[in-house]
Amino acid sequence: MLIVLQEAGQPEPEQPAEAPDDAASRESEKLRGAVKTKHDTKKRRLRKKLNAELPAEGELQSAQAQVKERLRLSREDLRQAGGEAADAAAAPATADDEAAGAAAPSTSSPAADAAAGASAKSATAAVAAAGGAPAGKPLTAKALRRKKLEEEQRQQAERLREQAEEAQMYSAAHAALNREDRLTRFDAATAQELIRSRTERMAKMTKMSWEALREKKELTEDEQVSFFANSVWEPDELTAADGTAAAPAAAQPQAGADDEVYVYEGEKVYLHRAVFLAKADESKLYYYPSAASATPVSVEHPVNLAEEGLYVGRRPRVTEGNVLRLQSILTMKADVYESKKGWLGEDGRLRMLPDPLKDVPMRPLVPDDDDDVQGVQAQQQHQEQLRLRQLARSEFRPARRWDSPFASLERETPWQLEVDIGGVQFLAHPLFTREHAAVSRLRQLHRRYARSEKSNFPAYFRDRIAALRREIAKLTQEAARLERSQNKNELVLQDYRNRVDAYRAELSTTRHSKIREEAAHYSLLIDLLNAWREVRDIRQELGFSVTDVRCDIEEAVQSRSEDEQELLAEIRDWTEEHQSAVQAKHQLVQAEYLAQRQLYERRRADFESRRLAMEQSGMATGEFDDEPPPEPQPENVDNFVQQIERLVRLGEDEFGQVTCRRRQPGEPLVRVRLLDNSHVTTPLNDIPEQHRAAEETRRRRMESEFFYTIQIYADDKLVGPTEDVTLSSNFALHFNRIYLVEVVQPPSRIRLQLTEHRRGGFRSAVRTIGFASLPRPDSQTTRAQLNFSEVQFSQTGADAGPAEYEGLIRSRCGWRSDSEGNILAPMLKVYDPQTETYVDPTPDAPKLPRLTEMRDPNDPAFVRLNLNAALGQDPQQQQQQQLTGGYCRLNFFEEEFGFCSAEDLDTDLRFRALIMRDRGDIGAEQLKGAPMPAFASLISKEMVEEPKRETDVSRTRASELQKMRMRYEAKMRYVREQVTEAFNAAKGYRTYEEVIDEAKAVVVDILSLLRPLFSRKRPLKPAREIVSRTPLLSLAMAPITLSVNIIDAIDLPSPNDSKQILKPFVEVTFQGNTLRTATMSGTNPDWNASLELPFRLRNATQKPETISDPLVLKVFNDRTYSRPAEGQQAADVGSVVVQEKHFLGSVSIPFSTVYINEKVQGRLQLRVPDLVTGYGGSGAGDGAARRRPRAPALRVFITLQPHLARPGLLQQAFDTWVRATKNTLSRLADEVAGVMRQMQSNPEAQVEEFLYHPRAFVVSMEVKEVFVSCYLSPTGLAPPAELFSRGQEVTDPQHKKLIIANYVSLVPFVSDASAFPGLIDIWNTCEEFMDYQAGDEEEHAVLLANYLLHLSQGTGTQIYLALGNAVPEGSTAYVVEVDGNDKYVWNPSLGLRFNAMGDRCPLISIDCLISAGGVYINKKPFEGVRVLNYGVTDQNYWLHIEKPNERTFECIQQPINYSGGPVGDSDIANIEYEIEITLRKAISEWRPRIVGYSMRVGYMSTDEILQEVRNTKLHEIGMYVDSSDAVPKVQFSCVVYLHKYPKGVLSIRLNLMALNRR
Amino acid sequence: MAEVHVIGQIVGASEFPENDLFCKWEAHFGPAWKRLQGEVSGQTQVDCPASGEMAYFAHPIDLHFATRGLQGWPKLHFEVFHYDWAGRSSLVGYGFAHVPSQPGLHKIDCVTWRPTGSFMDEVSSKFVGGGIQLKRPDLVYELHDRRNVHSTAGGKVHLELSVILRNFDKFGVEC
Repeated sequence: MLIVLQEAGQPEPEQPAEAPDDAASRESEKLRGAVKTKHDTKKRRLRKKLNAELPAEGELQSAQAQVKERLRLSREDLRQAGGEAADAAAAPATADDEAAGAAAPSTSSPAADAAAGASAKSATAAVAAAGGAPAGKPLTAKALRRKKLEEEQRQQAERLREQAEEAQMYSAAHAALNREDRLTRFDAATAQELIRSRTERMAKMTKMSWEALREKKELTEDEQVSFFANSVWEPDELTAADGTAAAPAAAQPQAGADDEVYVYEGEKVYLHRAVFLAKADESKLYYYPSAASATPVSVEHPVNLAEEGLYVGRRPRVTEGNVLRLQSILTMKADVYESKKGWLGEDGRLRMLPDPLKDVPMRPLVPDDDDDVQGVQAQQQHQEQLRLRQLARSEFRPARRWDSPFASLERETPWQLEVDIGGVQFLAHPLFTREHAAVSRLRQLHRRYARSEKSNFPAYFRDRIAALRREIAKLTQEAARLERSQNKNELVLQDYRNRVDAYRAELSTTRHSKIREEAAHYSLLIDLLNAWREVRDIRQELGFSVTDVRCDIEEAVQSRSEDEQELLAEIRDWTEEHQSAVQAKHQLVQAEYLAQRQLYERRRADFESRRLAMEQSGMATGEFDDEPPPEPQPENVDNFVQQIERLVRLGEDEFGQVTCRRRQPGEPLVRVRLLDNSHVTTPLNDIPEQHRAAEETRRRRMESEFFYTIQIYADDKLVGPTEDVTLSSNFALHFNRIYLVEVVQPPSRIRLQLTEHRRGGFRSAVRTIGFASLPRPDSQTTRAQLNFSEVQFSQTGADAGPAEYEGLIRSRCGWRSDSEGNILAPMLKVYDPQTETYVDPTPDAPKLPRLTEMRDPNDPAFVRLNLNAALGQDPQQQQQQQLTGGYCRLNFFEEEFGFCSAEDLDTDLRFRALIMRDRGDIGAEQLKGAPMPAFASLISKEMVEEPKRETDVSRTRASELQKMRMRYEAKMRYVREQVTEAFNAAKGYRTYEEVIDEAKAVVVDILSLLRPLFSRKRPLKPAREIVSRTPLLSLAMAPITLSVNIIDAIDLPSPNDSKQILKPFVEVTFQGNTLRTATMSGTNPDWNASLELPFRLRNATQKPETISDPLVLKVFNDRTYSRPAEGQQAADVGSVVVQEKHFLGSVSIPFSTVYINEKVQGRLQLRVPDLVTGYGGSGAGDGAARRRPRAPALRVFITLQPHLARPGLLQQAFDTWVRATKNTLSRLADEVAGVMRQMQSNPEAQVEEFLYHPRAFVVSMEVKEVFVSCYLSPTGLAPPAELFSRGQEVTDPQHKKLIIANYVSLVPFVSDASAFPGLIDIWNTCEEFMDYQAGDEEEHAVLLANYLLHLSQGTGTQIYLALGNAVPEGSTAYVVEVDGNDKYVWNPSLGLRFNAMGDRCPLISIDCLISAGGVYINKKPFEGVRVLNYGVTDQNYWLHIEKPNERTFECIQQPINYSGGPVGDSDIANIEYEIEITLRKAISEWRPRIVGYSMRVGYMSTDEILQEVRNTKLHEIGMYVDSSDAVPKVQFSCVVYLHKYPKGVLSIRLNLMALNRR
Repeated sequence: MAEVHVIGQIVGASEFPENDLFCKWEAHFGPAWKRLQGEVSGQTQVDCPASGEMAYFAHPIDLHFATRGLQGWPKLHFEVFHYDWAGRSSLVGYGFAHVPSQPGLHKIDCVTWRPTGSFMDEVSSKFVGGGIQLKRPDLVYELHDRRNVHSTAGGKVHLELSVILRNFDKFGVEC
């Protein structure tokens, strides 16, 4: 036995050198000897071979690089193994050998031995050089010894060379080992090949010497193998090896020493782990496929190559060189290898059967796991599963994985769907010939025909008819028996009758159905036959056939008479049935008729008896005129019988139309079968006509050019294509494959897409020609449970003609079940609207009806559910659904799970209060500043009650005037509501500044830093301290006082009695509190009094601007005189001091004016009575003098202490609203804003804020923004002419103006500012103003301005409406009249004219002047009225905003219709009377004494007049007499005069007189 | 009769492809709920962060609900828009978050998504801006059909919500 290649064959066997002890060393000694012997043997043999100079093998050359490495390694091995075996000289030799190894790669290595020889030579030279130099001197003395040494050296060199050769051989072995495949793939075939070659060669080789073989120069592999196999296994060598193998056997004790043979040879090593035994035993050990019997080789029975063992899974890899060599052998030395021809194919390659395994597995098997042998099989099973999974992975791409509600429910392994694609049958194809098309039609018809045949409806209906007839007969019998019986149950009988009726109806329908079905089948048959005839015609016409369809028609001859009888029987039966049905019906009708007849008879008898009685009593009688009920006639059946006969025989309906055709009596029964593959196709060669043959050839070639695949999509995701399939002869595609689709989420559907590819041509065209959609299977459905379904597809051509492709795809799709029978399907979740989640469907639960019950059919979200339900159910169930579908609920169990009902939520007081607070209906005042209570019980019901609207004009005793006034109030309220709404909307708007709190950039103003240096040390003007304003909230806490500083008065009327000195004092009344100043004297008194009036709010949350209490300043003359006491004669005895307060004048200031303007400062013109009796101006008694040249005026300063914050927010909000909402006027708004900016940026105009914004836009009654100029008509409005024609005609224009002003001022003043929290003025047009007889200063001013405009037409006078600041009104509207240099200011509500430049002028400043043409904004409002001195053309003072010439800016004033009015003459008398009576009554109550006044007031209401009168304190005259004088000595007189002006403007004149009896 | 106060703010939005964002929000609640006070929808300002990638809105949310059941618990629905240099706003995210049912302060990150169109849509929106939006925004919080929408993840909307519950224990709801 030969043991070599320890490293290659057996990695790391036990090395003898490792044995440390003596025995081991002995052993190793022995082993060393053995190894040496072995080496020697090998060397001998190898030398022989090498000398033979075998042709260099290609592989050998390639391996030579490795040879050198091997050489070195083997040397080392050898040294290790041999140890001391190498003598001292070995060391340099080794070094040289290594050097040679190193040098070897550089040599081109023509042959391995040459290289080895070279190295050996060099080694010798080296040794000579090494040993020769020291041995040079004892040359003469020891020549012999040197010779011996040389001899030794030579031997050593020889040994070295041998070793080199040996190493070379190792390397070759290694190279061979690299071809592992060949070795490991040592299978039966190769073994046999080996054995056979050996047995063949054995005898030859014994004779064949090596030399002979060498002469051949070229050896085949086989030869080499055989040669070396034989030469190696020479018996002598084997025995020798056996002998030497004793020691290695010890090292490898377990190896079967006799069995294992390692074969090697020099250049090519085959390491065969073959069994070497005696030849007799070999045949048992190897497998010879055909060893038992000789292979019969004959023509009839060709050699079964597979049985011969020719098949190998894969061809062994053969290098190019060998292939070339083999080719040369085959071509040049063919005779030698004649016998081996069967092995090799024509291509020179090993013959092989085609691989029967497909690249991809088809229908991968589920591994069987009958766990018989658990332990072993578990492993195998696992591997099998792994393999399967790998297969599945490699073949099928995993489908999509996406985030889904199922994501958390996903599992590790994906679900597996099996898509089983059976095939495709084309029904239309571009390559169809006429014959194909006809055949396709024939096939379709036959399919239907076969189905119809299978279901066999006529037979079914026939049976049904029989059954029904039986049942009817039975029931009728039963009913008859019951009727005859004694104790018949009417209910049961009725039930029987009803059932019989129902059966009869059913029978009739069934008969009709039967006829229809028979006719349908018959017509199908005829169509089929026609189609077949067409096919046949086409074939005959062309003379050949391209399809292989044949039709088998069986005809069963029927006897005509039998058919006739059958027909007659049918007609008879039917007629019978009909007759019995008609009879039954007639019986029913007859019974009803009898009952009615009976009733009729009874009624008639009744009537007759009554008539008799009446006739006897002599009364007139009528006839009984009721008709008896008509007797029903039995229905005539004959007509019906005829109909039936026609229908049954001819298929005609009652209108004579042939609706169905039936087999006629005597016609044979025909049965058609379609036979495929009947070989009727004409071979190409037999096609008679040449051009047809060519055409057909071309068509068939094209057929083969097309191939088809089906792409499988899972939810539009391509899962994988099937393989390519070509058309079969009858235009079908056979796939018959199951494709596995792994999904992580169940797709909603599987889509199959059939595509057509075309091979050849210039380009390969791919077309999609059809789709089929497979529904996602139920999670319980496996593939096997499903039947193939056929889905029809069609694809029209480019020009929308008939379908180009049409066909059926047979496929099915189900879940896969694994080896344990588990279905690899997810439990598909079903959306449950009840819980709003996806839930597992329980298979037994009736889910669909439940869903039906729940969904709202109108809800689009449920459309899909509905659709699914509609698709997945049969019509009957659908009908049920429709019946039950009326009930639906959207929010499930909301009522059941609710804490309370919805009404509880709505009625909860707290919630209502919260909502109202959110809406703004409840403010802080209702809550009294407290937060919202946390419990509903703490909330009062009143709070959350909706504010009640006051009922409209419905006062019973309201005059026209009052009604009109109330209408005005209602109108104003409406407007206010509108505006308030707009406010609330405007509150939402935020300006940029409000939202963004931007820190201003820090600008170091050097000037401001320097200013203190240059400022005056003692400023002349004392720095004012700015009064801090108290916010509103602290209003309730801090006491607030109204501080009224009365400075002085001027031009008070002096008493007529010149002896008297006027001693005036001022009384201030506010909210019922009255304070008075000290009494001064003179007509120009100087009080300098500061009065502090307490100011209180009605409740804590009242807004100050809503306080309507006026502050009234009244000037009195304190007249104190003494007079003799009553009844006393002498003045000195008892004089009485009489103190009287004589009213001189008053001024009333609304609190809101004080509050909003913060202060009222200036000279207030007193409102004095027209005539104060006893006081007559400055002495002169004539009439002209009685008209005081100068009105008395009071200088005051009124303010609130402490200051309250102004209600500015609302105003700003409104402004914002106005700006934000006006779209058409945006240009103007910008202009105004620009002006404002300009003014603010003007350093001269550094006013902190304007008291009054020049608002270019105002709100009209229609709640629209209107440009102010539109209120002024360019031509003005004509005043009523009546005003100027009283008495004599007034011609003086100045007088006219006064009259007009008077007239205007008489229109009652109704402020909308006081009632209006936000200071919103609503501007009425003049017409509205006059109609409603109410308005505040704007309305008055507008009206006055319009009148004045009219009057000053043609003159140079200019009239402006001035918005500005006046005393005491604050911001108000005046009329400015500019007449050349004279400038006048009209107070429209008082009707007074002031000289603008005079000191009495109440107008302090002007913000803007408004004319009909535009607005002039005052750039310097602090200049006061003086700016009027500068004409409006002065750009420095006035900014002109022109009225745009647009339609929206047209004047809105309409001419006033003065005719008519709410006040009639009778009204005037009434009012007069009312006032007079009231005053008398009042004065008698107030104890009036002295003095009289003549007052002129406009008519508002009597109450106000009363107030006016009371303010005069007339009644107090004479009151303050000392107590002894108890008897009043004063008489009062009172006269009221009412004058009616046009349009119901009323002027009331009051004359009050207190007559003090002296 | 139970009450829920939701007080908090939309802190901001982050992790969006663009930083100049604004956000529309809307509170949705079932029919059993009743809004007592507060705005149920709104829109934040555009925040163009000069540094950092988070857009801060600090938009207040202050809602007060009364409810008679737990169904339809309020949720906040967001639409995040990108405000680009041309002044156009394009959608970058839809999302919704339930109002927490636990009382206390909650920091919520509401993840958003955005529907993706075809490849060409994406390319054009990449260069031209804009993109597809939902026809019915209630798809965002209605669960039925959302799985049919191809979408891409957007960024997050950060919320800080304080939830105060009242009277739930009266009805056997522990919180």
